[in-house]
Amino acid sequence: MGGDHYPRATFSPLDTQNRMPMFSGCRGRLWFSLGIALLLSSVTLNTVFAEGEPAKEFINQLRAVKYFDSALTYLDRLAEYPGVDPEFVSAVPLEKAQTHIQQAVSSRNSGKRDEYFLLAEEQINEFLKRDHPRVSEARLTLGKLQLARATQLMAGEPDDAKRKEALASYTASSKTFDEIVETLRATLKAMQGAKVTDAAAKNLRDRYRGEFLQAMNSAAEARRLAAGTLPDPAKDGKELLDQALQSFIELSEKYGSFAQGAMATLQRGQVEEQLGMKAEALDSYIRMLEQPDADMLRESKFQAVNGIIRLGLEKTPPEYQRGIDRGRPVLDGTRPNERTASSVQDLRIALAKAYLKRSEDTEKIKPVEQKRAKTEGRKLLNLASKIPSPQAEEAIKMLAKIGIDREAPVNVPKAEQPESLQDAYDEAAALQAAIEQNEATLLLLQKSPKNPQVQEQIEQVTAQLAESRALARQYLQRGLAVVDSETDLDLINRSRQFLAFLLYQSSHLRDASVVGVFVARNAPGSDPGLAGGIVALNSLRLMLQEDPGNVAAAEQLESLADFLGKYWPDDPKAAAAQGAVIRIAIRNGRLEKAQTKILEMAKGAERGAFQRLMGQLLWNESIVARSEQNNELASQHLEAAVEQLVEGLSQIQVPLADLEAAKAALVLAKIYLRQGKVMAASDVLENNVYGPVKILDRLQGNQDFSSDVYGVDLQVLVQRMALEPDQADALLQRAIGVMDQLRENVQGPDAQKKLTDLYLRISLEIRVQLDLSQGNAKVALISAFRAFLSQISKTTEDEATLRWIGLTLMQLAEASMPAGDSIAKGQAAELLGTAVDTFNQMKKNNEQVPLSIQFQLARANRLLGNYKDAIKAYAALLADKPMMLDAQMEAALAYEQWAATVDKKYTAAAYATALNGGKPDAKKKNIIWGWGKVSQLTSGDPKYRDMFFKARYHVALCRYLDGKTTSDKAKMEKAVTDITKVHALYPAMGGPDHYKKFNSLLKLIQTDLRQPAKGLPPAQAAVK
Amino acid sequence: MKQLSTPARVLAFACVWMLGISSVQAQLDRVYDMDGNNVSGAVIQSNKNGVQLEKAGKTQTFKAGEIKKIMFEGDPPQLTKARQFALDGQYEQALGDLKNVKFETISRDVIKEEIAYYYAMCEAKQALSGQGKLDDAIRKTLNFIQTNQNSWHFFDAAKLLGDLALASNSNDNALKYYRELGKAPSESLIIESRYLQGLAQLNMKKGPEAVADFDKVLGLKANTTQTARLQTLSKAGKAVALAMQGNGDDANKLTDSLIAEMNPADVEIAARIYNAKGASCEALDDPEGAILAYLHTHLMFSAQPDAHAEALKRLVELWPKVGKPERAAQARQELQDSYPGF
Repeated sequence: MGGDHYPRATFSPLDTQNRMPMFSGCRGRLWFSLGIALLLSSVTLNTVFAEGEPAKEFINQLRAVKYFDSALTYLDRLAEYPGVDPEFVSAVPLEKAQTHIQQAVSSRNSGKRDEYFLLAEEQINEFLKRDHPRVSEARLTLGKLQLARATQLMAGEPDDAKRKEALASYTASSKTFDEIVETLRATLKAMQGAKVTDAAAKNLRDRYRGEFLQAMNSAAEARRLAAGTLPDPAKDGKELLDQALQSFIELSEKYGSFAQGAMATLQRGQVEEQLGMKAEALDSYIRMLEQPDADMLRESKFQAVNGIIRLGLEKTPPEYQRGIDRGRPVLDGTRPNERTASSVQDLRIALAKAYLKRSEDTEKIKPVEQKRAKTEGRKLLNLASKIPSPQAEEAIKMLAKIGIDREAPVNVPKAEQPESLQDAYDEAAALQAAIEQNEATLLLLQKSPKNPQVQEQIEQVTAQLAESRALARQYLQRGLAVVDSETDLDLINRSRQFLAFLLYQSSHLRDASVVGVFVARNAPGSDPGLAGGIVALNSLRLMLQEDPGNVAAAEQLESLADFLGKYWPDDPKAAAAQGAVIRIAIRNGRLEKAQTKILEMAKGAERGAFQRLMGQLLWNESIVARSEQNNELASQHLEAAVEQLVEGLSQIQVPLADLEAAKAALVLAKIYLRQGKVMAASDVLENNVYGPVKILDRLQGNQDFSSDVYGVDLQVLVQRMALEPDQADALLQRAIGVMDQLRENVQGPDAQKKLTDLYLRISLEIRVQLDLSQGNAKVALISAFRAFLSQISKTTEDEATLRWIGLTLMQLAEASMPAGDSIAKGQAAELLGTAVDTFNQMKKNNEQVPLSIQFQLARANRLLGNYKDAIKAYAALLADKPMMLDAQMEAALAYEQWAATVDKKYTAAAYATALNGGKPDAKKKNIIWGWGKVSQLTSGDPKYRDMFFKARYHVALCRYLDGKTTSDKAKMEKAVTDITKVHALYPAMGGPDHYKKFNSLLKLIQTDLRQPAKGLPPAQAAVK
Repeated sequence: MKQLSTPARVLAFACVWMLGISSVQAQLDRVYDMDGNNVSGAVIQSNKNGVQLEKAGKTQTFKAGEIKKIMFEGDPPQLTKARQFALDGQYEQALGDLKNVKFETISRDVIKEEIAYYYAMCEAKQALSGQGKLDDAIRKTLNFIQTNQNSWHFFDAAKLLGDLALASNSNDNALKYYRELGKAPSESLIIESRYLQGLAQLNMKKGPEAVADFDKVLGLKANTTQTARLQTLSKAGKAVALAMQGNGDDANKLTDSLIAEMNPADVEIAARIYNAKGASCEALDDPEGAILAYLHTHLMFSAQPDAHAEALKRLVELWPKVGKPERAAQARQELQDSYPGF
């Protein structure tokens, strides 16, 4: 590589230096891209044309197309052009410097680059001798130049002399920036008091502020990089790093609302990491990720994730999971134009490392998961290895370590020139016989016990195979090159199809797809055409497996599948091609398209199978929509899912359906249950052809599925008890039997955990069904569940079952509480009492009370109105687990509800506690946070979006209730501001449900304030 | 003069009967002049010289060449959109909308003419920018003229034909069509006709004849901004003609005076001025200066297709003279990609 480097979209001199081992993730692109943006800002600010020669715009255009020599010539001749702004003419040296900088940025030759930087520096020094309005801009540019030059000197493997020179240049640069910072600080301070009314003055102030922040950032960056020139940066350059850290802290803390300040959070983390302050670095990286989703911050976020992964992997044992959890969504969210960016390659490699670490974790990870992790890692490395970049080399090396040699040199033999295509075809066919022989041998060898001799034979046969395939390809390629108008067309097409097949076998997928498509399209209706098309189809499928984002391959596959279906309508292979398109559409989340394609298929087994799959996917979609509070969409998905599943299940011709069909039927039963169609669900479960309950015995060995079936069956039976009172006893006995089967079915070392998870799911489902039912039906349903639970509790000591009983009783109690009631009465209070007894029974049986039981007990107390006990229980729980957000919210709610019951003179204090928390610990920090802190800590992370909006709602509600009770208008007005502020920041208010609640509350407050009850502006559903 | 079509009369009568108001008030057409001002009323007559609009019993005449657009009552919505797209230079979108017009539902002939004209116009403009075949566009525009001799778009179509002929190097035909344009009723079109004839002469390498045409335009008193604009364009044309005759110094002085007053927002003017500057530099044997001039057109004013193509063509010739054959290849590639057949 020498001094030259790979080309990239934005050149970063920092890429080539500062290779401190502890700092592999930071390559300084951020700094340089900012620097370049600033270097260019002076010439891109004004795009309004004035009369006369448009010199600024033209020079920009010349630079944009990299005609730097022409730009310099033009600047030399600028005086010849009429109507150029004299200020611009007098700034020719600065413009020349800008041109040289861009010339350097574009150059791939390090020697030339340095030459251009020197020329630029000369021109700026020349310019700085003048009294010119752009002097401050020139000084800023000079600082950047010194920084860039130093970076250039550190490229490759710098010797001591170069390091010394670089240190001097970095130091000079930091001083240049310091001067700018001080000058601008004074200027901005002077402007601070003055009223700024006109746009020009505002622009000037904004520009100065931007330059100030940029200079501050650059000074710190120069110091950080200066430390990198020393033999041991963390030790020898500690002073420099400390200074840099102070600046980044100031930037991120004081100016966090500006882009430069937000980005400094990343740099702060990087310096902290360099100084060995790992915990602080991790905190900074996580904070960087919590910044708003702005385009300017995306690059920094990529680097921050990289830092998180790196820090995790440094630990012993390596903590890979947090990196995967944080990194995967960020990587999946990259935009097409970012996928080749250097930082994204870094991220791919870092994430691959995390996956590979996971794949090596034999203690915690199951073999199948280990394999999956290795595949994920390999896929990421494969992608990174294909994009020309310095990271590609690293990816190739890592692939080699896991046994994949992307660069394995193949000694390609040379085929003789055939006389005709027929000769070539015959030669290739003869080689194909040898290829098949070799393949069979290889298969046998691979199955043989491993020893060095066998390994050697495997290597030999593999090499022979590669050689034979290469030779056969060459024969065919050369043969096809000599065809003329008299060559038999069928032979030509067969040869092409053969070539496509050989290319496919050699994993030259792109070439195979090109040749295969060509044969198919040139020989429609023929056998070679179909065979070529199928080869192309398989190649494209494999390409898409490797890179699901390959839009071109996906489009080609779809078009090819249509073509095959059109010209070989009766061929099952061609018909199956549609299946590939559907699968890809499904994988890419394009369900509507998949649905259209399915409907285009002829009715039959295959269409039925796809419809069943589609039905299950739509069920998943409905769950997602419901979790996003889009109930209307969720219902639509459910309706569509029923349609697909019913039709798909009706296509099962064979009397005995398989597991796939049973799974689809189970989903259909779940949907019916969700829709309140209990008898329809029961019919599906017990259907003679595909009913899961009926055929479960036959589908042995799948514990999870069986548990799921028992769970659904249980709910159906209990609900039927409510619907068929005369059958209640028989159904109860059946339900108890199913419960026993369920417990027996869950086996293995983690059976209790599995059972607990399963019970939890069933409880939540029961709650949904209770919420859906009304009036007498609801009462009957609650009674049925209660009878069932009571029967079960008499016969078991099993912890998981008891916990489930308690939890379900809680759900029953809550469901029977009228809306708006905060304290349970009557039947609800009875149910809660039984739940508390159940939990207390469990407490007696356990020395260590599980957290979930403590939580439920506290909750039951809250619902019973025993606020003091509830708060005490929450505080005990949160003292151990302060980050248990559910408990924090419950505790704040308990305070809030308590506040509504206290004497008026304590109201304000009680609501203040609900807002600000209570129960201080030894360090006088509140164990219970209160709504304020909950909302603060849940903001900015999409994972906690729902909690955030809930918390914000309660903040406003507490203020309103406090204000109303104490007749304090100001508090009520503050509650209005609380709501409108949330709306200003999040116009969609977190979804329709939250929006509705906020809107109602706002109208209520406005009415109490004797204002028009306008509420919120209409919701913006698209923006959340 | 063309009369209102029978279905339109029936409709007008129905309105009168239903609303009890005069037929003229019932129909609402809207004529827009070149400055964007509009007058509403009923277009009662239309021919190649313009239209007559009746409003409250008074008749107002609008000359062809002074009308920007007319929105007729009964315009299908697709035509309304297409017309605006076409006038904004978004020809592909305009054609997309025109294709969706249900022709059989249209009762007024003037609206049918509109649709036919905008079809021809959009295809002609696309062909002129290298996005379609010139021959096809010529055929379709001729067809429009032959079947709509009384359209108020007649002279616009004649100008389009001239432009298409010029782009196909059919200079005699270009002159013929531009001369036809000279018969238009509005002064601005007559002046434009003279300017365009000068351009055709330039294309035929007839320097003195071109100068004579441009001088005629320059000799007029500029009463309108349109005339002033044509005079600027004529100066640019004259500079090219002077350069063609070897008079680089005068050509250079002329272009410099134009650059000093140039408004770069007027792309056509700017592109022609810089091409003229390029020609004058070439006449002065200054390939470096010529390259810079043509680069202005190429990099900043490429929205004027014929001038852009001309600039690229000259750059193909000039880059090798300053030792940059690879840039000549780039320019050639761009010329072939953007303006195939130029």
